[in-house]
Amino acid sequence: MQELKVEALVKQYPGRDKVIAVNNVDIEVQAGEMLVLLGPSGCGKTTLLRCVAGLEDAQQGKITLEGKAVFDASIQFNQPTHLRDIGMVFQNYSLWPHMTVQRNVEYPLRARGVAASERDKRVKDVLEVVQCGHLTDRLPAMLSGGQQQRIALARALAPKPKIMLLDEPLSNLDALLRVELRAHLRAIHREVGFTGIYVTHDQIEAFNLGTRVAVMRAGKIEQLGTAREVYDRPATEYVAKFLGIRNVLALNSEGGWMSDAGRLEGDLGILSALKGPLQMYVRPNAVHMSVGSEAAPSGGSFSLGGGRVVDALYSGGEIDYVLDVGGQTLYVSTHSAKTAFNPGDAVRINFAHRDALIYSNDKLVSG
Amino acid sequence: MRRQVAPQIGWLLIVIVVGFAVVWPIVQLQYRAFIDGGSAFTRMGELPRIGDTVRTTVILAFLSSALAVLVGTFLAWCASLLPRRVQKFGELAPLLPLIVPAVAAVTGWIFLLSPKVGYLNMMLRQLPLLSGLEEGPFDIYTVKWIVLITGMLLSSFVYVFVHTGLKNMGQELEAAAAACGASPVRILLTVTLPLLRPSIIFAAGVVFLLGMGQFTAPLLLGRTSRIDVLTTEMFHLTLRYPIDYGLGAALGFPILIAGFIVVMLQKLALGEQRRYVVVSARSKYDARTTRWWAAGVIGVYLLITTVLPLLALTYVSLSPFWSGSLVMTELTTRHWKSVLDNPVLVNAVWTSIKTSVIAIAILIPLGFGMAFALLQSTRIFKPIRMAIDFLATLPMAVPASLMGFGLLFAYTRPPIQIYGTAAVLVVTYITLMIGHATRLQFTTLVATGQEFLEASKACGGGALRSLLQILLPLCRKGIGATAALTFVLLFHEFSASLMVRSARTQVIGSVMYDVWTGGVYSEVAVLALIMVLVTVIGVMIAVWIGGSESLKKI
Repeated sequence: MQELKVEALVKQYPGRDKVIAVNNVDIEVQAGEMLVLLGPSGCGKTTLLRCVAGLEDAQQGKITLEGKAVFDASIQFNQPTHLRDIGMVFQNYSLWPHMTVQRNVEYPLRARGVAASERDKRVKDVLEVVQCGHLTDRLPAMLSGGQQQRIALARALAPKPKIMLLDEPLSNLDALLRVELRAHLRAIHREVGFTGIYVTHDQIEAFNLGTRVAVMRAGKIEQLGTAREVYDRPATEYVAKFLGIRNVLALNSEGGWMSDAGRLEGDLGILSALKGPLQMYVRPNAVHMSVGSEAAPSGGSFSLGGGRVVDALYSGGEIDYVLDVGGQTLYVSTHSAKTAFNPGDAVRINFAHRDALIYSNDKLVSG
Repeated sequence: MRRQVAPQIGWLLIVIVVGFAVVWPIVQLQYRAFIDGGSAFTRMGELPRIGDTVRTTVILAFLSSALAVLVGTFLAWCASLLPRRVQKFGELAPLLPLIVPAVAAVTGWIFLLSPKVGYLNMMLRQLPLLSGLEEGPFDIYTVKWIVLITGMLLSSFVYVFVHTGLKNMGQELEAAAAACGASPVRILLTVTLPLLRPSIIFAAGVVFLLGMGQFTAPLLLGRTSRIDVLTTEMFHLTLRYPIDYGLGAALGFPILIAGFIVVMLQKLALGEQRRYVVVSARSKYDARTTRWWAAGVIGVYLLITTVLPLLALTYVSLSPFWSGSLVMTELTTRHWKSVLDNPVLVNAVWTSIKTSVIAIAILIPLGFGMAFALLQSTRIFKPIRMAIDFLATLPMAVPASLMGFGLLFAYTRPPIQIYGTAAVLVVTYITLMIGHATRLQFTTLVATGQEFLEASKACGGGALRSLLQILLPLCRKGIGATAALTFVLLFHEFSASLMVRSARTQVIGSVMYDVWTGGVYSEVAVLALIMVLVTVIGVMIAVWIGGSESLKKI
């Protein structure tokens, strides 16, 4: 069953440049699902979330929660935020500084008119879930960043809302705490089974937490799929770039396949059905290096010769190589236990067909 | 959206009511200046010494504001050099002159510098070189001294803005310049002053307007040697019957135009938001160079602007009569008794308190609503927000004396004939202070942030619950401080009160003027000190509620 349905939503900001923050977006979120909106800052993901919350007024479209419209531009209907039965976690938590943890968490229950006995039980339960049962009488100023984040989550969960809206809830925390809370949030989602939308610009967060991931670009959904689908098969070059796939080869089919880093060698059979120009994306960890004098391997992979190691960056378990291949800069990361190369070494690179993401006219055509 | 139209009606109502209170008196008055083919301007041209009056007004506006900018900026710089041990008090010290009502400070200065019996003059005449003089060496009843005293009174305002600007800037940016090899002078010229420019421009505009509409100092100091400015001419008109409102309007017209131009120039030079948002690069490291002489400068300033006038007031209030000689043995509390036994004076003090409190009870919620409206970027129609912004700015650009004259005109005739009642004072106070009450609470709301309100809505809290349980508790300090400071400003109020008072409705400022013209200087001193005392109590309450920062909001 769909918990949330957004149809043809348009949100334009007033002003001279008339930025279209949300541009004709359709999404559906199933019960128990966590949909992650992923994208760089300014792509409209937070605006979309705030439209669902009713904190921004869209100009066109319709938003339905559990089958009931909460916003419908066609009949000029816009339900105020406080009547939408949502739970929201803000980027800076927005815990009210003048209220104790107890008062903060029971606030949504009071607002919904929940009886006192039931209220106390729910507050106790939800604080247990976020492992903060001992903090009830503290004021927000006396809490650490991680604790504030947990209380903000508890406050949003307490009334068992139809949908949870999480706006970059982990981005203000330091790296270690972020990893810990990410795992905790995932466990809570499994345990409580809430339906949610989660906004982030961090792809690891998105892949960890998202039942499905929607990558946004300039107010539109660029790709929507499971974490695995998005990671393995980025639908467009924009998604591939956003995911940090750094090696890009521009290919032309005039007299064999020429790339901007030299002639593409190896097993070129799978390209025969395609016409240039093509863009080929390869992750640094999918590229293998061999000594420059070696011949191109024949089966199931592509190869480029004439490379030279420019720099080798040791970063713990891996070595990141910066290569110059026919004037193009390419990147390779390998396990540090493998044969080491030194700056100046002549190298050849190879990568498997299945690791080459090939785009024609911004559409994924490989695999 | 259809459902968003209903709330607009409430905001529109506020705009209409406040708009009527603020705009109507001025428009109606100015209309009188231009009917009959502008004959009022002809009458203005025929006033005796009108050329001198205009010239004095212009001189006073330019020179006193220039002096205030120089002194205020220099003080702010000194405050930034204060050694840590005296930093806390030293930064607040230049604000203390604001606690002394202008009328009390000017009276104190008269006691010190009156040419014949001023205490300072008498003491200076004891010096060998000056012993031959019969009077002087200083004569406070001159344009020069009106400019000096006004400039000193206004310098505190400049200090507030520039000091805040310096504080917000922090030392990081200057340290960065030093790290780039810039000398202290180069840093001052290329980093500090350019970054302070918004603060200085804003402060200069504010004090220019205050200097242009200056009323207290010219009225009290100019009388003896027949020095007038446009506002005092207007006041003289209110003492004759029938009052020539057209002439008063003509006199006020140049001030109104100047105010309009200054506000426009400020907006052009700064942009609206710059007033509230300052580039912040605060550092926790305090690596300032400190100088003890800076504390000396601030000490001298405090002595001249506050301590000496207050000492003079206290001494005169306890002397049998003001003779200029310092005899400690004859001190008496007679004048305090006679003031406290005089029903007219005591009534006036009570009227001041009552009308101020009633005005504040209306001003605070009204200003809160208007400030809240200014923050709503989407939910309130833009024309309504622009109108509210205008109404919150206008009363600050029109001098209180001119506003008072307009209000006197508006409320002595139908449809709202309330002259002679306490209501006219309440309405006057609301009109004068609505901009103030809005701006102060606006900064509170901005500082509180919208997220807390959004969090409440997202938790299912409706408008009333969000207001009562989230917004008001969070803004409590700012609202309390605004109320206390507004009370202080209203209790100080002199110019407009003097215009709209009647025999039955006197406030402390207006009776003080009567006692002053009657020549009972000891009682003037008592009344001035009562003003200071009540102010100190009010400010202490404000600081207790809102912290020492609230003092800077005056």
